[in-house]
Amino acid sequence: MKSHRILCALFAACALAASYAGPLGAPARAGAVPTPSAAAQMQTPPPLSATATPSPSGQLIKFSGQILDDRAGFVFFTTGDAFRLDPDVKIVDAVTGGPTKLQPVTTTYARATFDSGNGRVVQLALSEKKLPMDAAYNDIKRFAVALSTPYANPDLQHKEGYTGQGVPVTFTVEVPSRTPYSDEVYLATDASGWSATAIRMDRVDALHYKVTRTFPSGTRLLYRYTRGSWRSAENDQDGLQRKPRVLLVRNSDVQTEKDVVYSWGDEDQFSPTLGGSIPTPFNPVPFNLPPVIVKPH
Amino acid sequence: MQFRFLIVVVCWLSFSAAMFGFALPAAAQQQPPGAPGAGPPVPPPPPGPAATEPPAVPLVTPTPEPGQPSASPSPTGRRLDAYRVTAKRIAFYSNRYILRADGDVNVTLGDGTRVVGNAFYNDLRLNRFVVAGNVTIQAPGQHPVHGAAFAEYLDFDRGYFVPILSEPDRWTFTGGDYEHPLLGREMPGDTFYLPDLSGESVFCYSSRAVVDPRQSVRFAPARINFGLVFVPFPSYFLNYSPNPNFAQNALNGAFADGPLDFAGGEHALATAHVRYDSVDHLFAAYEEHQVSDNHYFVASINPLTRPFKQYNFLAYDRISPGLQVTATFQESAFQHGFSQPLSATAFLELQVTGSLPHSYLQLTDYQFYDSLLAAPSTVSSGGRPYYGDPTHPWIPDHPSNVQLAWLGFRHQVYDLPLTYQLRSSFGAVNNTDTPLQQFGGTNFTKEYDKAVGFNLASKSLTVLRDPTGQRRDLYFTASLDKQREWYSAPHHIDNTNFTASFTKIFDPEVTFVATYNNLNTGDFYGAQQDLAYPGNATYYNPFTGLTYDVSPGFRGFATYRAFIQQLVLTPSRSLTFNLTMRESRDFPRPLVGPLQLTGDTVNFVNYGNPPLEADFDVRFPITRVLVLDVSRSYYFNFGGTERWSPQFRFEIQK
Repeated sequence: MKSHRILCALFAACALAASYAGPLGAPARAGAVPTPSAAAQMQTPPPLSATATPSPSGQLIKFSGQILDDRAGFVFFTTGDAFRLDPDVKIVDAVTGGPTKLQPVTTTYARATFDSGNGRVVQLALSEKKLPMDAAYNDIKRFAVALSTPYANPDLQHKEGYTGQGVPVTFTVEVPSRTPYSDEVYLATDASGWSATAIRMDRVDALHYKVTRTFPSGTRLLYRYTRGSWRSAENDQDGLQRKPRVLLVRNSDVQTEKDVVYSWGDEDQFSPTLGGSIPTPFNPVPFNLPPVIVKPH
Repeated sequence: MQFRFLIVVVCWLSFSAAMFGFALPAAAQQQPPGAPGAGPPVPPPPPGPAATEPPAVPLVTPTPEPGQPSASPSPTGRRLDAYRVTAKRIAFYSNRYILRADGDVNVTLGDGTRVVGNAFYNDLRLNRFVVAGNVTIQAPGQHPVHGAAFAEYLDFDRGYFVPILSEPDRWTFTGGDYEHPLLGREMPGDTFYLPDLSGESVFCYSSRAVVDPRQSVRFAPARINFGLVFVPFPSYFLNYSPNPNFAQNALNGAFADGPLDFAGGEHALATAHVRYDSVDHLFAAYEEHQVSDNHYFVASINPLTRPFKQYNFLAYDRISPGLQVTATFQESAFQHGFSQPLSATAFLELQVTGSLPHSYLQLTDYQFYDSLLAAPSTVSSGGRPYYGDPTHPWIPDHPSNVQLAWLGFRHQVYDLPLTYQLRSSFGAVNNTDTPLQQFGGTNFTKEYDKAVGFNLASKSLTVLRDPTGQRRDLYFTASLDKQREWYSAPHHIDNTNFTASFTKIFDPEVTFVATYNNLNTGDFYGAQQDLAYPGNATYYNPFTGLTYDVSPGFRGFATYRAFIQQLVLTPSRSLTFNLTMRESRDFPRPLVGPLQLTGDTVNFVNYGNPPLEADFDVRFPITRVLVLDVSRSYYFNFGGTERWSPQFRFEIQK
């Protein structure tokens, strides 16, 4: 157990160091970017209803998103929509409004300015970082170009949709009365690689432990309760190894799961104390079993 | 002989794992196509404002009208097979379980369909991927199709595509049928969503990965993040199977462990370990898993590179819904390399559990082999045979213990907040070489025993209810466990264990638990009690062969009492303080055990509970997914030597 803790400490150090590793950023691509004049560089990006920029035939609408591709006179956003580029489209930096070395390529973030008159994109302001929202998607959805007429997808109908909102889920478990007070109870989940010490629970009273974790709605979580190792994982009431419990996170403000553990995998019902971790000088049993041999690493 | 057999088994397992793991992609590609499956009937497209001019180059056949058979059967099922990804750079973000590939991305699906593009994102947990930027799909025997992005939802067998013909369009492929896309069908809102990975660290880089959906990813080669540097390895095998049997481990503890999963498949995993402890220092170990939903077999050698080796085997098989077998086998051998060992001991635990109505039967067999080796020819001056040198004595003992137990379910006592459980057992203990017990001039090499017991426990009872309704209640729980065990030697043992606990919730963030525990153990010899326990100040334990200083008047009846107070503070969901005070009163009095020096670490092996013990524990998050757990214990100078527990306690939780 001691070694396990040191392992964890070393792992923490590695993880901390790893957190300083640089993100995998797409390399900046130089290319034939229209070089605006010095005056243009100083130009403030036009307001939503401004009439600047190449000959707008209607109101200007801005929409921010991430680019999938830029091809054949269209720019494709991660919404899956293609928008027609104006022949005189301007490519600028999203922060400065001036020229940029960025290209409208895959993964680049962009703020597209639409001419509501013809639905074309007259300006693309590019950034390597996510841009704040401007107009809503529904405001520019009508400008999307597609050959086929859209129609409803039966896959997406008559089913509960999951919003992906964070839902605090409280797990409360009742443990056997023989559970040593000094033992910890953990949740092992598939989301944490079935580590037997993935989520430690807090004691509520002599028989109950609980913990609250937030999961996106729609999450399907498999889990089992343990006392810190797979040898001490929960069993079914009939002594058989228990299949993982299943949790489906619903669209709700909170969710509560109440479970009962009937027995532990390392439980010897005929031993006066579960685990028998403390040897005493007085041991009248005529046969001393060795301590648990296989320990978690 | 048995020893060599074990080595052969382990070698075979490692070989089979390696072969199985590396053979997986090839096998996956040879998977025959499944049953044909056309997409759901497509209603006639309603008139709409969007552009509807036909494609300039009709590369694909339009979707057939409802009722019209498909021109060719679609290879349903191939999407569930493994697929290969190559790119200039593939990065794995372990915190998010996301693969990202950039530059010359080439995805080869199970049926040979190739998807190329500029970027690739794969959310392993959602089991879907996106290829974006200058995308080309080339299905076997079909014309290539060009587009801006392609998304594959493997769980739903749906492919979503943004083709570029004369103008862009939106297509949906169902059942892997690229010849008959559903034109214009609405797509999920986040079909082409590219996750924001800024700020996330990369665990491993590669240029080639084979993804087995919902199971594993194999990177070859791999550069793995060790914090300060990325270290190249020939391959790295990431297992993220939902099968918890992969988590079973057969390795003993170590101070530090660096596992490297290098081969595997849907049912196998081979792991090399670099480990450290203060005795063996830096050493290598090996572990092998073979699992399914209803069985596992885990084998390990630890350490591989030191003379004192342990061969561990864990096995589990769910033979039927109501019957399971588990086995644990451990062999400890002292051998240089894989030469003839100088000592080899083993332990086997075999357990068969069968479900009955409202109860179950459990047969448990323990076998201890104090030596697996044949009798040596060399004998020490003391007359004890040995291998190599006298530090490896040959001891032929083979104790065993077989128990058949019946255990009842937990039942409620009428409508009371009480539950009870019954149990009984019958067993036999045997050791022909060294007697189990000597009493009254008789050597007991075999003993039979039988036991009955019950457990009575209350549920959480509300003693004082919070009048404000804020659940700041006072709860009470109690438990009584009683057991009697008879032996063929003339004595029986009674155990009575009583626990009572009060819990007061002062605030949702503050909980206080006070527990009293009383354990009585009596060894009854009847009229021969004085012979077994003469009441001296020293006590000779016939089972351990050791003599202890105990409380005068001890006649085989022990009492262990403890009063435990625990305060739990949870100011936030991620921050927890835990303070525990334990006061113990043991009879016979506790003894300070000998200090054991394991490497550079001091351990205390006490007999009984320290009279006073304080534990402090605090947990707090250090990153979004990692929590640091620090705890320490204080023993109030127990025995004049013990104050603090030997070490701090750190735990990282995810």
